[in-house]
Amino acid sequence: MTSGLDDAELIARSLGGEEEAFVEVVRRHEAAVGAYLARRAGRDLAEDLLGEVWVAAFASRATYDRSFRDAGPWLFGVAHNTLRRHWRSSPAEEPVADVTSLESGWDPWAAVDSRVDVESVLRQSLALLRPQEREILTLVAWEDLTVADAGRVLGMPPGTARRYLHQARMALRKAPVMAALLIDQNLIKEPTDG
Amino acid sequence: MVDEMDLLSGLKATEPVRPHAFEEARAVLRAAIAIEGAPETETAPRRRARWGTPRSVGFGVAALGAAAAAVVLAVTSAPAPSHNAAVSGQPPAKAAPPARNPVLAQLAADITARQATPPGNATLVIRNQSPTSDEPGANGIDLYTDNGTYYWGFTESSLQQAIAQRQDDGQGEFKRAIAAALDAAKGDVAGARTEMEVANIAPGIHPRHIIYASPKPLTPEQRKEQADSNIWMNSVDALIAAPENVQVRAGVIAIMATMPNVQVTHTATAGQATLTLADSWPKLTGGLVESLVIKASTGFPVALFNRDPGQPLNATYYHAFRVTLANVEAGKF
Repeated sequence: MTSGLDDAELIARSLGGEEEAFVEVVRRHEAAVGAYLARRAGRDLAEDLLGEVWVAAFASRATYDRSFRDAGPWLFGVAHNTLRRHWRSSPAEEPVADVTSLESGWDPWAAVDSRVDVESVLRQSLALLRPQEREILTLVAWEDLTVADAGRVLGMPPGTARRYLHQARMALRKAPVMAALLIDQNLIKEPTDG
Repeated sequence: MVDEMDLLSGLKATEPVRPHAFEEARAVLRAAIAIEGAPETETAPRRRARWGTPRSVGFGVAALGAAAAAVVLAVTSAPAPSHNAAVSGQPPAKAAPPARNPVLAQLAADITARQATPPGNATLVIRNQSPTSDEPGANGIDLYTDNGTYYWGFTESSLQQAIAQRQDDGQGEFKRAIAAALDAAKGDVAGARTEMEVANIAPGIHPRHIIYASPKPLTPEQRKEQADSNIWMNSVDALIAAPENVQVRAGVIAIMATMPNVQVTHTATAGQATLTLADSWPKLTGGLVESLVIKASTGFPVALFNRDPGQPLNATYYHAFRVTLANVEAGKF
């Protein structure tokens, strides 16, 4: 029976030879990790890469710091590295977004969807952030991680993660199109009297 | 009051991963777990990641035309021993030195005699789909230091960032492949082949941990092809990582000269004389053929092609430049 155990205990059992223990860890986090991949690479590629993420995590589970009971951030980190390796090595003809216009960063925003202006502006603004800042920001905004856990995903201390998040938010606010968008949104949300 | 985090939350929705994909991913995991529990190591062929996923799509018409420009002039490879001779019931061939392709053996000897000290301490490589243009494409920019450390970035700035973080994206793999090639250049080709076969595996990592494929036991023929596949891919990696090092080139070509299934063809690519080395692993990968194109006189890598029957051609051209790590880190390209 594994349902009462936390992730760290399951990983310990897996290291002890209990085959289903690690599968149970995966079951707990597959929806979140799948969504993480899909947001960054689209559903098709996410589905292609998911098995690779699990095998990579399984292969490195001996290095897991079992003082952390929740393996979610660690699995996001494995997914992050898997995706990064994929983008690094994928042939140019794969259906990636236009990355040549990005000022920096490794991860093309493959699922860019400009059907809605707001979304388009947001994605353009995100693309201009530095990669680590963008990753911290989206881990917090999309994956519902704490800043400390987002830092764990990327292997950085909580203080550094907080700094990156702050910088990312400031950079977003200062981006001209973003500033205009925020004004518009707030005018809509909070119409003034008269 | 709406802030940027609220707006970002609006982008959270995504097309969800389908239930069958979760099941398939778990099946892949279970296969890996089963391999770990297996009494002996069984590994599937290590497919070069750069050839992408099963979902990789077509190769552009223009690039296909460029690839076709590699005109076959003559087939010159020596009669290759049967790829499966060692498993056909014949006595093991280890007593006899491996047959060597005469074209490659001669090229390796010619290169070995050269002495060249290229400027700089690193090689910057642009991978793209053009034999003549060195414009970076969606494969980004590779930087290999002479000691085998590998940095990668989509753009110049992200490459600078990777260097600043001292983030070896090769995880030592290129260092080991280069070391194996250098040993081959010194004359120990048999030992170098053994080194090269496992160059992609970090010390302390069990080979079974890097496999994502079915745990179904490999046949003897498949094992032999698997070894050949690993030697091929790691040798190509060494050549791409250290193209300016004449001893690495000589060592890689000396190793490839001993690979029984490698077919060598005289070709021309973008107006220059080239050799195309093709290898395949029919028991493992069906009709897949990978071809390495090198300059005929120097062994310098030019391109890598991959073709699966019924699939469009994948082609990658390499454009290498000597640089210093410090200059690239400082943004001086």
